[in-house]
Amino acid sequence: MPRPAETADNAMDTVLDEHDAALAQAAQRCLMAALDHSRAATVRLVADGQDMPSVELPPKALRLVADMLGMMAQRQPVVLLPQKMELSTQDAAAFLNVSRPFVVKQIDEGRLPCRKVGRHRRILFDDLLAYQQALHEQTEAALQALADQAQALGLDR
Amino acid sequence: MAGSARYTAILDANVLYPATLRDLLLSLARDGLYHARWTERIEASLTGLPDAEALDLAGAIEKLQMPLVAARLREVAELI
Repeated sequence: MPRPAETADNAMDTVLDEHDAALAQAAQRCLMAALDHSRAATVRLVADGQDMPSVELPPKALRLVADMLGMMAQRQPVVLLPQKMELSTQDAAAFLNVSRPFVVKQIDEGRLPCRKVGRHRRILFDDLLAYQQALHEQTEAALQALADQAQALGLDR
Repeated sequence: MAGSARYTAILDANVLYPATLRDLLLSLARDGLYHARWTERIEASLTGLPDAEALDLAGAIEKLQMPLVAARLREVAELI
């Protein structure tokens, strides 16, 4: 899944202007419609009247492209990271929007898995996403508990 | 939090006391608009209120701790 970009280093500029965003949105809708109808899909690119051969893409790839177009249509910066990519603690901190010492503490306390390369810690992007998801669920549960408590006390008005 | 790009805001007793406002502010923190923080002193001023027990303010604050979203500080100086 493409995600909104959290780090700016060595990322390419993916933010579209209004006109291009509309094009991206239209393209995304066409792709999604095509994916609904058929299992495999063919993409035809037309370049200035020249007839180009049709390109055949696996549905999985098309879905990814459609997702990316959807994000770009919202004019968000997008960066694509391989799930097996390893991040430094600094990268992980930037992704979670927290300080590096916080990330190190999470690793040291066993909440975030990492691999040691010499003296450096490397975090699998997959693991980072799982960690973020777990925290998100904890937060949702805490908010729900707060709301339940307020309701039980009749304070929710 | 040092080194973070997001705003950090201190929630004091005035906004932590009313349940509805507390819920709203914590939801905004959950959505990533800012980091929510409060201090031990703010917490003590809440739990020391005459109606703290009736409103279970101690219980509510216990539930406020949300990693990455909301946390208690020993003192405001931790942010500086």
